Amino acid sequence: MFNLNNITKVFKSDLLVDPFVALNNVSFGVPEGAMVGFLGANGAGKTTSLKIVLDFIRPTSGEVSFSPTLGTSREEVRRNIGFLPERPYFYQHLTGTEFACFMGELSGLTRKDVLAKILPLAKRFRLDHAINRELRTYSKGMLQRIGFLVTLLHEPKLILLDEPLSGLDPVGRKELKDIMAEIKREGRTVFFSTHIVSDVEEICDRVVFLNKGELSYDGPVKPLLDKHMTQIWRILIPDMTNFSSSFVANRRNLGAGIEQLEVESAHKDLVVKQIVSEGISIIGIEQEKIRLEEIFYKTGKA
Amino acid sequence: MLQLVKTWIVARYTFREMIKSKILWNVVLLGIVIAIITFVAAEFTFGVPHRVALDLGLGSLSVSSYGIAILIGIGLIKKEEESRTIYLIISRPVSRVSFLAGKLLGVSSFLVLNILILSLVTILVVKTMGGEISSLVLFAMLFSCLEATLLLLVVVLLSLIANTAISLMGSLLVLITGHAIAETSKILFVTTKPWLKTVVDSMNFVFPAFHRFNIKDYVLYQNTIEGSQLLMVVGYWFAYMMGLFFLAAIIINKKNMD
Repeated sequence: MFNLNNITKVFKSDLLVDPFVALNNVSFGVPEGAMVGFLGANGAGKTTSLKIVLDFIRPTSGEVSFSPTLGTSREEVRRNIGFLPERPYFYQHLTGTEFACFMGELSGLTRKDVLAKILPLAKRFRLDHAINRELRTYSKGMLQRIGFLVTLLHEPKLILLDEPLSGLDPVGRKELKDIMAEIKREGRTVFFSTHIVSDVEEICDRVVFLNKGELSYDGPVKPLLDKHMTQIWRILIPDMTNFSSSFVANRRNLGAGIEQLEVESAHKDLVVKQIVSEGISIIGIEQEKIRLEEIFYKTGKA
Repeated sequence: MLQLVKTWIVARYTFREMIKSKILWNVVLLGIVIAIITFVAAEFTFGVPHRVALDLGLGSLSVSSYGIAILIGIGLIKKEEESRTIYLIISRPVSRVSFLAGKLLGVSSFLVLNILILSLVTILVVKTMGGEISSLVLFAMLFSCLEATLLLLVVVLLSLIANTAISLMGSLLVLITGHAIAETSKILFVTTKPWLKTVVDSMNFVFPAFHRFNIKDYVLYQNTIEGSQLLMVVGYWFAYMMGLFFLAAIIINKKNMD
């Protein structure tokens, strides 16, 4: 849907201050119809990248290219993009409906179109009770939801979200994640930045990881998890047994009468046979799973 | 053509946001205060109470429009950046120049509304005191609108290149210089020094000549002004506005919105 090609961005705010390299030769692509999570710690360069994609700031070098599906002219491309910045504060004295009309009309919809769309969308975002209230009366979560609503109003093909889930309570996060999944099912492309890895693992099929302005990983989530899958198996047995084996690498009492044995993949079948032969009942057996979060933040790189 | 429509949309909602804010109520309150002060001041005047009313009315609409132009103008683009609403707008098919033009048009409409409200109060008070409203009074009100919109553009231009404190000081400096420059070039200290006279006269071309929009003396004491002079002021306003807007458009197009 779009590509960043060798993007470098250097900020120089003061003559006496050294230049700060926010992005260093970053290249990645977002395929059509994908849900891509844009990961990185605070200050990694995620917002800077999004601002470059949308031409709010210009890169020091490199370029951004958009797929012809979005359009050929700048105007057409913009009409097919929906963008929600991080924690925007909107216009306090406009009502939800007025704000939606404002944004919709700017995206080429008529007022009539917006009014026809606003109620079903407001219901979907649980804002129908407040849509005619001034935005200054909205809570933080409601502001985030109205922001999301106006981002989707003109049915964009590409949706760019900057930290859309930050500052929301668990229920709000779950609701927005459900809506994002729904948008993806409709075949639209979603690219969102976040520093919360579990969100990406939960709903994304691809991930782009930035580390201190440099690209660490760009690709699908599942192969990344598979690649880092450990060779450790966990076998759960009752803790009142005196089972012992030289192949058990580690053992731990989990409480509630359960003991966990950790064995290497190569010895798994052998240990299971030993347990069964001693007449001990196996409660459970599973391969140790590694979370995306651990991959990124323990190793620092993917 | 399409960008003109976008400009109009931004202007419409900027104006709507402003009339729903408390500023409009402050203008109405100011109108009431001016009416009361005028009635009180007229009590202490012998013979020409309606002239006092007119003087106070015209003065207050100028001062209030300066206040609104400076206070709103300084944050017009900056506040949009801080609240990140500008990103919502320029990520859509809206050019930066259309956005700027729309914001300026929206606030200018509000300035005109402010002047209209205070003008109505002034006209009402003058009429109540038995005074007449000549066409020159209406020109003075129109010129207040032109002056306020020009000041607004100066403030917005400065706010695009400097921080809030510097743009505030710069705007006040430009406003005061623009008013004082004509009188300064006439004082003996300047006229006796040719080099200083050249400097002061050349500043006339750099700073907007706000004094040109002040025709209160003609309204209050002379009651007549050449039509060509009025036209020249309108022409000057148009040319200066175009020049400043062109400059502002270049700056906003080049600006990093970070």
